[in-house]
Amino acid sequence: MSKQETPPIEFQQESSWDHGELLEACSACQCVFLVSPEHSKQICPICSQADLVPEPDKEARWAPELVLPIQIDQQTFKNYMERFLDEVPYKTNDLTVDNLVERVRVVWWPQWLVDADLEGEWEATVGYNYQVKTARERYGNDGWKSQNVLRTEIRYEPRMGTMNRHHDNVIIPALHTNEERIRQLGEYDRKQVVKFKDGILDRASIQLPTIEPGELREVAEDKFRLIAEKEILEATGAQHRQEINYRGVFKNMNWSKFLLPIFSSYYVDDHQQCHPVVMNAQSGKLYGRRMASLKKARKKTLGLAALLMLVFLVLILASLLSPSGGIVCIVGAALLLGTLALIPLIRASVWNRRQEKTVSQFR
Amino acid sequence: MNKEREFQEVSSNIAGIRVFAPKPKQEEERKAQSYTCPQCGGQLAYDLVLSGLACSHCGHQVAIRTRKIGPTAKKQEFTVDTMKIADRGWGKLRTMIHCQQCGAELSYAEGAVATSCPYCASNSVNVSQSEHTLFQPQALVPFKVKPDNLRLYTDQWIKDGWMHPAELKNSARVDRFVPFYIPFWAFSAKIAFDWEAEVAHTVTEQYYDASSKSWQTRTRIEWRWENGNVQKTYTNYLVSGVDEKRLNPLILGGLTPFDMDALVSFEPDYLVGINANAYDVDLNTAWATAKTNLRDEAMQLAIEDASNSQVRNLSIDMSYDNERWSYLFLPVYIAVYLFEGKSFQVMVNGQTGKVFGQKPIAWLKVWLAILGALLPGILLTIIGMTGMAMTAGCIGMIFLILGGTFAFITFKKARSLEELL
Repeated sequence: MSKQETPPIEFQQESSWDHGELLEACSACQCVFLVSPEHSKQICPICSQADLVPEPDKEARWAPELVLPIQIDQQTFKNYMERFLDEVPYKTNDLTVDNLVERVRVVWWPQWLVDADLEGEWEATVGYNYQVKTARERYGNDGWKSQNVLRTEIRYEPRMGTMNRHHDNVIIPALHTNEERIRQLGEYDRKQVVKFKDGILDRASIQLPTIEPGELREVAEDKFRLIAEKEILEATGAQHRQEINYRGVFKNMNWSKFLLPIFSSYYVDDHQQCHPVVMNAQSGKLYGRRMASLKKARKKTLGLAALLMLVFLVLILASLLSPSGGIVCIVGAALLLGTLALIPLIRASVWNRRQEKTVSQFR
Repeated sequence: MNKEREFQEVSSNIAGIRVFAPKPKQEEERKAQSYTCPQCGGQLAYDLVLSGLACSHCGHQVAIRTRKIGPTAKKQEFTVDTMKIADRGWGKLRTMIHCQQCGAELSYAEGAVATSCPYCASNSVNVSQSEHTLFQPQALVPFKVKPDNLRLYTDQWIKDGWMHPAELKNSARVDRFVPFYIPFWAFSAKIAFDWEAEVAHTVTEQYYDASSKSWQTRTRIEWRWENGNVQKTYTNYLVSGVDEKRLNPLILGGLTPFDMDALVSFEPDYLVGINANAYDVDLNTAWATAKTNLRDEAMQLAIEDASNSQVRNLSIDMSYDNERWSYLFLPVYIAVYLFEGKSFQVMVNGQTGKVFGQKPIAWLKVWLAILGALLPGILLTIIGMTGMAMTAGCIGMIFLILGGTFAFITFKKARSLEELL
């Protein structure tokens, strides 16, 4: 059992795939998409901060190997959006369910799938549970009482061996923002995965990887190493690991793409700034900033202030008619009513500040 | 590559992954051995003076290859498997060996692990009576006390103490010491317990005495609840492996302590020509005995932990941790002496030379000593009570207390010595 040289990773691409999609990029978030001609030069479905612009073509047209189908229908999308917007105070005029539904686009975002053969040697120190007989003893008025107890201990033992295993479809991030996106949209249930077929993507936008396989060799090897270590532990039948050292190679690496669906929409706030609202198209988990309209809140405050001024004037008149009425009461009432008038503005400001700090997640 | 020789393939739960585990240590089966001199064919035996094997015929010496392991001697755990084996006992006893010297088939007395061939006088050792190597001795403390010094130790011991007949010093002679390896179970464990008890606190208070119309001071006991937590680690807590019907455990207990730093890995060579018996108190019984003693010690520790030794309603919740056991042989010389037609057993710690054993009690001497201790106090107290001299009465009371304490201790000691008989 001698150590072998690690062979170079082989990138085996799936068949070329071209249905006339255009390659376009966002100047704000640098995301690159394959878009069908009818979606060309539209607003970026990921950041909604800029329109997509044509990108010089590159070898990016690999057909994906696996796809996770969309599970959310239009009605469910609408219901979720309604609940998402339900609690927003003083919504901007543009922030409506209808607008969000109207602007929704399906976007597929990528992860890499890697297959590899693991061949080599390993050494490990693993722990096995065993039981020892002990006792719990209690002394009281009726003397000593003893109770037998079984205690579980761990015995660590060395193990070594060889590995000759093939692994399919190990997922490796294809975007620099992969972790962030999973955090925003939650995990996908990969059991529902299907083989890619023509037409399954339904002329939707497809986000392209920002990290190429060449840069991911070490990441993939680390992932396979973790899998190897987990399997070694299982193969030994041990319950605990102290150290597992896989010293083999990763051969016949085959890279392919895996696409996951999202629904992307947006709305425009008071300052004409676009805000994206994104939904996991499998689980329905939503992500986005729900900004309140300060303009609307200000209007409400002014309206209230005018009303309260009127009330204030009535009170002054009343106090003039009856001099015994305390002027102090009138000043107090005025202060109280003035404060009440500010509530809409304060509420909207606080809401927006919270939205800027933490983006709303729903479901 | 060496590693590969030490490993063997074991079953794997995943196809494509081969698993190799260390080969189980071949439990070296200690076959019964006969010892004859390689030089003259004479009888080899362990020489207590030379601390090695020596031929009684030509004097040829053979060194014993062993290693000192001290208190770090390997200890076993109370695993479920071990306890199952212990429950089954000895298993199939191996009591027959073939004498390599003359070819005779020898039968061992039950429990004996060393014997001599009655036909050719060659010595044999058979420690593998149990079919489980687990229950073969793992270590021993070699004899350190030379036989020549034994008389010196026992003569001094005979002379010690005043509770025994005066003639004992002159007529009793201890000789014919038989070296013997006694099987012991050595236990290690950590005990941890929570205790709770009512502890006595003496409170001094003043009260108004209506009869004397004055304020008086009195003390009373106030019981207060206390609790605590105690931990203690025991290492090599010894319990004899010999049935108490065969060897008096009180005498054996009197020989302790043994210096466990001198423990060496077990080699049958140490037993050649020396009597040694395998245990007849099994592991479970010995551990139960140890635990009974540890419980008593736990109660004592709880009382020591309390702010006062006077406690009541004591409750203890105790657990054990890191319990281990080992099976050892410890060296003892056993001898018997005759006095007034009766035989008395005496033992000498083969490592430290400490002597302990049975000695007849001269009860007349004991009673006279008790009477002598009590008499002055009794007389002076009577004088004081008759009103002749109050001071004498007070002094008498003090003497009575001192005398009573001496009498009690003397009586207890005499009784404990008699219990050895």
